[in-house]
Amino acid sequence: MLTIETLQLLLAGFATAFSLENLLMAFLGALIGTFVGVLPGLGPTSAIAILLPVTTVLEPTQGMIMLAGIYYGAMYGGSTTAILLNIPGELSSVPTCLDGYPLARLGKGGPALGISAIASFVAGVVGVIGLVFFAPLLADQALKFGPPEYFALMLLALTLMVSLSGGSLLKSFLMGAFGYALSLVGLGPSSGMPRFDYGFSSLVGGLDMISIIIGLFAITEVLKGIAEKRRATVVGKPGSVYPQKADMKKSAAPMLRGGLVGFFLGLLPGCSAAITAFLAYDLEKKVSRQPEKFGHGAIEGVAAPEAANNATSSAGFIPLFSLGIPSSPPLAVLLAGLMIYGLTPGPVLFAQHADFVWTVIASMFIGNMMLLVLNLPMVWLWVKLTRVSFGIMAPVILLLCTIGAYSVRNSMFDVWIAFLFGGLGYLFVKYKWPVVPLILCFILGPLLEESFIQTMAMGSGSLGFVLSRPLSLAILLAAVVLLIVSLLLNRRTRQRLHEEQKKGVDVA
Amino acid sequence: MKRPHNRADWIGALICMVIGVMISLEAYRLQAYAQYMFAGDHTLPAILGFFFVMLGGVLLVQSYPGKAQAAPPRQTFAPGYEGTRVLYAWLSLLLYAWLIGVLGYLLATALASVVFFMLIGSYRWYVAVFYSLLLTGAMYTVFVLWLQLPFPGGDLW
Repeated sequence: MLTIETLQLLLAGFATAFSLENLLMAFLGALIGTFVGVLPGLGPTSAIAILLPVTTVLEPTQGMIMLAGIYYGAMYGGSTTAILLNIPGELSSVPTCLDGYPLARLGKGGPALGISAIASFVAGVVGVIGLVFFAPLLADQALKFGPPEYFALMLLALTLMVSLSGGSLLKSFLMGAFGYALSLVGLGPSSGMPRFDYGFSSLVGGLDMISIIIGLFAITEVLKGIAEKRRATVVGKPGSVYPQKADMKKSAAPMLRGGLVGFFLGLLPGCSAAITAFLAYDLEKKVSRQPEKFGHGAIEGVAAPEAANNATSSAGFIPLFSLGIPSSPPLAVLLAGLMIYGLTPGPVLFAQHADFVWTVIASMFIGNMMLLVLNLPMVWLWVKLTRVSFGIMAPVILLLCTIGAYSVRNSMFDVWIAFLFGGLGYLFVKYKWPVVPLILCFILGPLLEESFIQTMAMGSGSLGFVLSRPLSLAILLAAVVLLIVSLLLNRRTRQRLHEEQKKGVDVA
Repeated sequence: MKRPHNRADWIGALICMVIGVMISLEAYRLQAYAQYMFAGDHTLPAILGFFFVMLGGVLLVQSYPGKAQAAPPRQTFAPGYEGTRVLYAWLSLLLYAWLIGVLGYLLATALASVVFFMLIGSYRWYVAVFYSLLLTGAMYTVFVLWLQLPFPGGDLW
């Protein structure tokens, strides 16, 4: 629980976060994130993927503060397009569409956006408070982690495949295997011999994760936009963004319930924001005295899933920081960001880089506040941005992707890789092969291999050694439980999504 | 001969099995450098190779219709109008990457962005040239002049 030491670290984090540069980074992150998230069709994952290389010029703390701001901002930006355009940037924004878009059609898009911003803020703060309390608990186990525990942790991360599978579990596993295979390209950790280079010297250095991420998310998104003939149209005028007293009264309890559902389920590594947002929406519908209003413009139907969505986003930082497990696609890209800064998330991150982690946590409070300050008065600007033609945005995004891929290692090889994976990503999306397991396994691949080889060496060639250590055994048992929970929750979410797709909600 | 129910999955499954074989061959090559039989640079590739072949095989079987399933609708891979535009856009990207090496960043970006504006935005050529000049100028100023990104100058010059 919260100790004096934790409190001191948090206060020190606040002191650092309140420096002018860090405040500026949080502000810029929230601003840019909202800006990119608002652009039609670009969800938080693509937003972070495009902007990740931009942050690499900063020092780690500032870069991470900016990335967290981009994440929160893009999440909120995604809700704006969900409410005004009926285009959810991510699966987790689908429940927001259900009542947000009907509200916009009724000329109440403004209050819906306002409630969405307030719900995101309230839940974001709930999530960050939870982060302060729960993260140290996991971090305390840091010193007990050896290769077998890391190996068990990597197996636990594999359970994420279920929640990230999208449709077919088989394809999800194949894509995960493809991600692992890509991570093997380059020098072998044990012998130092080049692997999978097939005589190309450029492959000896391995594949860069940023160029793959840019290709699979950002370039693919542009190609998808071309295929869909994407245009941007907003329904009517959104009206005042400041919700009325009655709206606030109706939304207060759903916000809190949604926030709690989102946070506590978000602690489970396999539980994505899409799952919690749907659960929160269904919960509100069940407890409501007028369930028939849901789907036709109930403000509670915006408040609850938005709160759940945001609380899960904050809670997702707990398994990310303390276990190195990303529970959602944007967090998988954020994990890549952490690794670029040379910070390996996991149990020792709190022990070795406590100042960094607590500064980022403190800046999340500030980032959430900024998001509220930024979004309520500036909704008119975001509404205008949704009208930017895709024909203008797409070439800009493509050129930024080129620079992003090139700038990491100043290598044209990475640009080629980004473009190649852009084409592959389009085919994957078109034929429904989930992309996120590939990224997750590409990121976790080196850690899995290292811990596997070390564990095998420690156990004299036997993996049974993992079962003989209490902590690794506990992690393995947790993996089994999570796998079952994820399978059940995922099946339920898929059914709900299918129901909504039948009713005409289109997921971007 | 039975036609696959889902041709895209059938092709995907075959590709996965080929990848599995390639990875297994690499694992076999790497085994010569390993100190231990079950722990080394070859172990994970060997496991992955096995997974690819096995799961690819399962997907291959799944891509055929079951007894209870109706005759599969014929799937076509011929791209429509939008599919052709996607293909052109992607090929333009590859051409852009090649042109950067030949003409240098500035000229290649100017040319490529004209193509992108015309292809994606369907703008007339003079509007596309105008947007392209604005965009290339902004990119060059920020990333090359200001942030000093060392882009290739081009082999031609």
